[in-house]
Amino acid sequence: MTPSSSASAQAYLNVRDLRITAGEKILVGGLSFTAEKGRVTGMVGESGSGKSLTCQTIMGLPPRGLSVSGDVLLNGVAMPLEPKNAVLAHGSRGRQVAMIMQNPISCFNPVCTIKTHFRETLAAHHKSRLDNTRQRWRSSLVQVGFENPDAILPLYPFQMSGGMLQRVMIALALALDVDFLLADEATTDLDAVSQRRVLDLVASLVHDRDLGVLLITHDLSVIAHLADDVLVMREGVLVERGNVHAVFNRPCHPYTISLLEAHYRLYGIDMEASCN
Amino acid sequence: MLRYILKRLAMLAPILLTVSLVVFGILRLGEGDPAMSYLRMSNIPPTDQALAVARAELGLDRPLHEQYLDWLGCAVQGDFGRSYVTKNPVLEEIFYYLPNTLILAGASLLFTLVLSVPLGMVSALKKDQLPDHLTRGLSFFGVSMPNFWFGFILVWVFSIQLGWLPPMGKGGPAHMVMPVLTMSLMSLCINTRLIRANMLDNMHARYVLYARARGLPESVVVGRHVMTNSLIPVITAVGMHVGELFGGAVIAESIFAWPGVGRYAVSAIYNRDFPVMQCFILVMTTIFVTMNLIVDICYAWLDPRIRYEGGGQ
Amino acid sequence: MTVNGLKRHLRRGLVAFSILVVFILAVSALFAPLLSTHDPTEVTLANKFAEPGLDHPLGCDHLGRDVLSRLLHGARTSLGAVAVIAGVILLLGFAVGATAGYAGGVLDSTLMRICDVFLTFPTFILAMFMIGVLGTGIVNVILAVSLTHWAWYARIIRSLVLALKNREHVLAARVSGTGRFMTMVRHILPPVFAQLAILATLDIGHMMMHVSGLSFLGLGVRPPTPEWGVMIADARQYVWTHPELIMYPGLAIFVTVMAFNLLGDALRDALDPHALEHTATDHARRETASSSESLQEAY
Repeated sequence: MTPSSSASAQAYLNVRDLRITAGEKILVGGLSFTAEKGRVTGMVGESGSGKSLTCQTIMGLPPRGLSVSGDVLLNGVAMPLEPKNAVLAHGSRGRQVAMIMQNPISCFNPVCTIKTHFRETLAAHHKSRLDNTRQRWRSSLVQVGFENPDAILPLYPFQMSGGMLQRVMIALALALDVDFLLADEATTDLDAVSQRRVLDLVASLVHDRDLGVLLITHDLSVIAHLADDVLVMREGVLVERGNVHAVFNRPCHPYTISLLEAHYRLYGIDMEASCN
Repeated sequence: MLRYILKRLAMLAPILLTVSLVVFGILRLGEGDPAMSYLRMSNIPPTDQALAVARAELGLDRPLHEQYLDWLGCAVQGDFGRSYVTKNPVLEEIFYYLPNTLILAGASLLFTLVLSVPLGMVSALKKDQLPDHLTRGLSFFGVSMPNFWFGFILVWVFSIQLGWLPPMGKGGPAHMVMPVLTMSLMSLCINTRLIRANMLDNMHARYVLYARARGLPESVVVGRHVMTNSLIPVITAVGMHVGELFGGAVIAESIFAWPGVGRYAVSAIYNRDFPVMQCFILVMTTIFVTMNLIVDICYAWLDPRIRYEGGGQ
Repeated sequence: MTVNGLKRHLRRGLVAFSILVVFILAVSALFAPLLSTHDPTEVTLANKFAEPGLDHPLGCDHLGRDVLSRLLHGARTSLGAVAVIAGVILLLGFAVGATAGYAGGVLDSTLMRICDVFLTFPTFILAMFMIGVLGTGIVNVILAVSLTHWAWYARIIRSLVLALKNREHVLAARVSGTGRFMTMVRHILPPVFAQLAILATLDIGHMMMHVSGLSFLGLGVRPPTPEWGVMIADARQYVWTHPELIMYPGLAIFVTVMAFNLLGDALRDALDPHALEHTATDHARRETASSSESLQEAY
């Protein structure tokens, strides 16, 4: 089922005709979709289908040397997509929408403590009044499952595991009260236990705080477990979209069918049965 | 951290000991007959009797390891013998000239670091634009230019043609400009390229992407994150620069008649003045080793990964 | 023509230029006696400071010796010395480094301790000391510069071998039954040689500057052997009146070093050992007290 036009007017994230090219090569062609708060929208596809690229572009940080056209609207406000203009948008980046990424250890500055990361993130959004600030850090760390936040703050990134760092990234987003989260392959290189933990955390945040999530992954079981809607990407183009039950139950596009079949063959898990 | 410092300090003694062993070994290997050299320098005809007396005086009739221990014992107390030429205690003479060399070396190191940071930064930030091409081109030329040639070019331009700077001798800043430029050339170019490379690596690092995604302003991203991670490896390079600068000092002192320890050592080599030569290399190496130690400690202090030696949760 | 196209042409032009220069130098060095019009050591005071002309294309120096002939023979001396030094360093560095890296254990530690000893000294100072003790002359210069430089190569080669030893394709070869020696030869040696070629080419400039630097100080080649550094030293007192006598040999060194640096850069780009380089660099950085490998890129 496709979202109705009235629903797209309320949608928090509205991407219209996003086109990303590198010279002659089309990396993302005419992508349009919406995502709402309080729902998890999954984006699935093979490597190279343009998922991460879309994610970074929504944040206003496309890689250098690419030409980008189209519209990205966050809560009705257009986001500048060129890195130059993105300087102006940095206010909303991180505050309204945050990003968590795969391989979390490489996302942190190796010579800064977690505390420094928090401090500078909050300072960038002018939320740095001292007393209020420390409370925010601690409470957001507690929310993501760290019982003793004071033990975490003085640590350096290399002293923590991938799962822990992923949760810290979520905590950083929570400290700023973001409305929307872009999760770019966030659980891809975590072990099963950490993966489950992070996904459960995200699910609870969606439920408790009305957080909107764009969940990007190539792992269909994660989509089945967590997503409400799903977007199927192939070579930069959206081939199918809809409610996750509907799509996994009665896939229309041959590519979606082949994805599901491949997953079933590999894992023996019936996708429709595993949809929550 | 303290453990790291103590561990490195503890290694200092064995390192210096090994250095002394190597120096002594080379000395004995090459000196031929120290007694002969001594007599020759003292203008004493090398009769058999004189040789025997000299040998006894210099302790050459004792077994080698005893000679080494004797020599080492004296060295530790600061007694490196007397110059064959001037007959003065060698350490005194070296220490007389050493400050001049250290002034040049220190000024060159400072010049290198102060100039290379902005140059490297601009070159990286304006990659593939004019400032970058200029800096890279000049760096390439600088690295390929022999410093003794560069020194004479400077003399020709600034002393002969323009008459702005004195061509030789020790003195104030005016006398220091050309020697410092000559010595710094190689290190400056290498350091600039290093900073540029580091910055380019870091600017496309994932943590920079994440910093931007968190909404940090560009000035913070570049100023704090990129610069810090780019400059920390430069600390390690300082050790290498110091070695290079010592070599450059010898050359610069020769060109500009700067009364430093390098020039002194060169004349000692002409005169086959062995006590001076051995003291020279021991002193310079000790300074070099100490500088490297300081560099390593600074690096460990700045990079927590080294400090914690990978430990943690 | 796009900017990128222009840049590519420029690069190709520079590489071609550097190959040409190296070729000319090699020819000069090998055939100097045939190419020189005069005996470079022949002193003819009547020709003192002769102007450039048909007979003496670059004029004569303060002793009436033909500058061009001296330059050509100087190429022979300088390049010859550097070639021998490079050979010795590569052989010694490779032997020690590859053995240490591949064998591991006590042998590795011992060999690396020996390397460390040499790396503790500032190179130019150590070379000066060795010459001071052994005496001047081209053989001693070669010996001194070789002995002060080989340890750095040994370390790098060891890091390379270590990095390669644990690469998947090597482990795969071993698992499938290839003997240790054959694995070494087929999987480890080729990339190491490639990297060595690049390092050596880039370092030739450095070695040349040490050789001519020592000669400039009077600690190198014995007169009247022509050598570029010596020529500069000879001419230094005439910098006010005849600066060109300093220009020519200096320019020769400059162009030579530049050509080898360009060539080394081109080789590095062509063989693209970046992945290897970074692994080796990380290994080496963790090991050496004063990291010089991080300067690889800068060199």
